Amino acid sequence: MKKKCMVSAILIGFSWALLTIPARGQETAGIFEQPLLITSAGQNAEVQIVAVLAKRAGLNYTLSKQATAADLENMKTLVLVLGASLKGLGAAGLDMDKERERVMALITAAQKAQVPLLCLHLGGETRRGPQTDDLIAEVLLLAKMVIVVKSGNGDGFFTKLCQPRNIPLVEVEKTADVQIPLQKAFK
Amino acid sequence: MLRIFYHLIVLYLSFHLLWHLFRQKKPWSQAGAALVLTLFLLRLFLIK
Amino acid sequence: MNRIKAPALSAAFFLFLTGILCYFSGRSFRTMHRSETVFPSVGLTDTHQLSDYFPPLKNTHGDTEVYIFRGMEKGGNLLVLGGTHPNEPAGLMTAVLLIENIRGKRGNVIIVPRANSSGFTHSDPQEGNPQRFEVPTPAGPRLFRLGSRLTNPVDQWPDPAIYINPAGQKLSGNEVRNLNRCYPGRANGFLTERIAFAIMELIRRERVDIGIDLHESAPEYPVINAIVFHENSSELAALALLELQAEGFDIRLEASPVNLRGLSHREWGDHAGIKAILLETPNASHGRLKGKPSSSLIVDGKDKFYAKASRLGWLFVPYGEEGIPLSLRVARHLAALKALLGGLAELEPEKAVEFEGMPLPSEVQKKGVGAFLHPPT
Ligand SMILES: [Zn+2]
Repeated sequence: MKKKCMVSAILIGFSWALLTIPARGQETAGIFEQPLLITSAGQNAEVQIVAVLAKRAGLNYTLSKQATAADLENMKTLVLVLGASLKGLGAAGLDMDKERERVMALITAAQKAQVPLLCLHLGGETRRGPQTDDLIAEVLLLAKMVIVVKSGNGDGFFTKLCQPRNIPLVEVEKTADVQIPLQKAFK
Repeated sequence: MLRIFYHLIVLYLSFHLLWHLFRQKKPWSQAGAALVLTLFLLRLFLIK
Repeated sequence: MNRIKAPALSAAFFLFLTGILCYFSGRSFRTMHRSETVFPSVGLTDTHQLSDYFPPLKNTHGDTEVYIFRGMEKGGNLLVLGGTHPNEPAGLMTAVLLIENIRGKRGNVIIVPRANSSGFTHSDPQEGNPQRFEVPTPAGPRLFRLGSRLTNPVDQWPDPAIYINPAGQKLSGNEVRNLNRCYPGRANGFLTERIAFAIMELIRRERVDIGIDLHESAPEYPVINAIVFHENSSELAALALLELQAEGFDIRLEASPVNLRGLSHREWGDHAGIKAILLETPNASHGRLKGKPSSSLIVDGKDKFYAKASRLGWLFVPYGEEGIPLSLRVARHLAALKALLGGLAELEPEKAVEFEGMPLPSEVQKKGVGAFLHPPT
C-alpha cells in the first residue's frame, strides 16, 4: 500500500515536472486576448486557413490581407501568418520590399500600443526560401509565441530563432492541428 | 475565301510534283518526289 | 507494250505507293477527330452540346458534349470542366470517371469532359507525344486521346503577334488558342474565344453556383498540387484544404491573382459571380525534364529523370522512383471535389450539391482509374 502510494506520488511528481518544463517562461496557454487581427507577412494564401481555424476555435477575429496600423484599433492581439507568395504579392500589386515595410510598420504600431504578436507558419517546406526566411527572421524576434507546421521547421530554422530568446514555439503535424494551440493561446 | 486560295496553291504544287514525278528517270528521284507528293495530298484532302 | 517506258511504269508504281501511304496516314489522322465514346451512368438526365448554349458554335470543332446529372432534391449547381488543356489527361479522366459512375441526388452536376474539343484533334508539335494513352480496365484497355494545350491551328489560324484577350490582358500571340486565357470570351471572336463565351453562357443559363476547372502541370512548375481560388471562394478553399490534409492529401492554396486576366478562376468569379476553383495535379509527361514520352509515362507516371530532379531538390512536389500515376492524380481531383462540396454544404447549405456513386478517392488510387470505367466495346 505504502509502496503504491510512493509510486503514484513519484508518477504525479514526474508528470508535474514534465508539464512544467516547457513552462520555463514559455507559457503557451491563455497568453493572448481577443479580439485578434489576422494578416499575412508575404501575402500568402494560408492566411485564409488561419481565419477558418480561428472561426472554428470560436475566436473573435478580423481578417485583413493588407492590414495597416489603423486596423489595430481595439485589437488585443496581432496574428501574423508568415510566408511570401510571389503570386499573392503580385496580385496585391506589392513587392517584397513594400510588403516588409507594411509588416514592420504594423508591428511597430502594435508594440507601441502594447498589442502582443503571435506568429504562424503553415506553408511547410514549400513556403520557405530566402525571401521568406529574411522576413521571418526579422519578425519572429518580436513574437510572443510561434506556431509552425513541422515540415516548415525541418532544418530547425524556427527553433534556432526562438530558443535563445525563450519564445515559446509550438510545432504541429498538420495544418488542421493548429486549431488546438491557437484556441488554447487565447483567453 | 482564304481557304480556297490556300487549297488552289496546294493543288497547283501537287500537280507540279506529279508532273515532276513522271519526268524523272531514276527510281530514287521518283521515290523522293512521291514522298513529297504524299505530304501535299494529305494537306490537300485532310485540312479543311 | 514497249511504248510505255520503264520510268513511267516505275513512276506509276510510286504514285500507287503514295496513294497507299496517303490512305493509311490519312485514316490515322482522321481518327484524331473522333472523340472516344463515353458511357454515361444510368443517372444521366440530359445530354447537350455546348452549341445549345451558344448556337454559332454548331458545326465547328469547338462544339463539345455537356453531360447533366439532375438530382431530385433542391440544391446548387456544380460545373466540372475537364480537358480545358487536352494535354492534361487527369482532367479528362476525372470527368469521364464521374460521367460513368455518378447519380444525381441534390442539385445538378454539369460535366464537360472536353472543354476545348479542338485541342483534342491534334498533338503538340515537336513533343513526340503518343496519339493516345491506354487506361487498363479489367476487360481490356481503353484508349483516350492526348491532345494539345492549344486549339488546333487548323481551326484557328493565324495567331496574332500579340494577343489582347477579352479581359484586356496583353499576352504572347499563341495564347489566343489557350482556352484558359480567353475568358470571358467574345461572341464574334476567334474560335477559342467563342468556346469561352459559350461556357460563360452555359454558366449563366444553368445558373451554376460553383465551377471547378481540372488541370495538371509539370512537377517543376510552382503552382502544383494546388487549389487556385477566386477570392470569393477563399473560405471554401481553406475548408477544402483542411479536409484534404486530414485525408492525407498534401495540397496548397494559391489565390487567383487579380491582375492575371482571362483565366477561369478569375473571370468566372468576376463576370459570372460564381465560386471559381482550379485544381492542379503533377504530370511528368507535361514537363520539360521528362524522358521518352509514352502512354506509360502518362498512366504510370514513372520517370527516372524526374526522380533525379526531385532528389536534387529542383521540383515543387516530391517525385519518387514509383512515380505519380494517373490513378493518384485522378484520386486527388476526386478528393478535392469531394472536399469542396463538403465545404460548400457547410458554408451555404441551400446550395449544397450531392451525388451518389462516385468512387472513393482511396479506391481509385488503389485499384486504378480503369476499375471504375465502362469496359471497352
Ligand atoms: Zn492546364
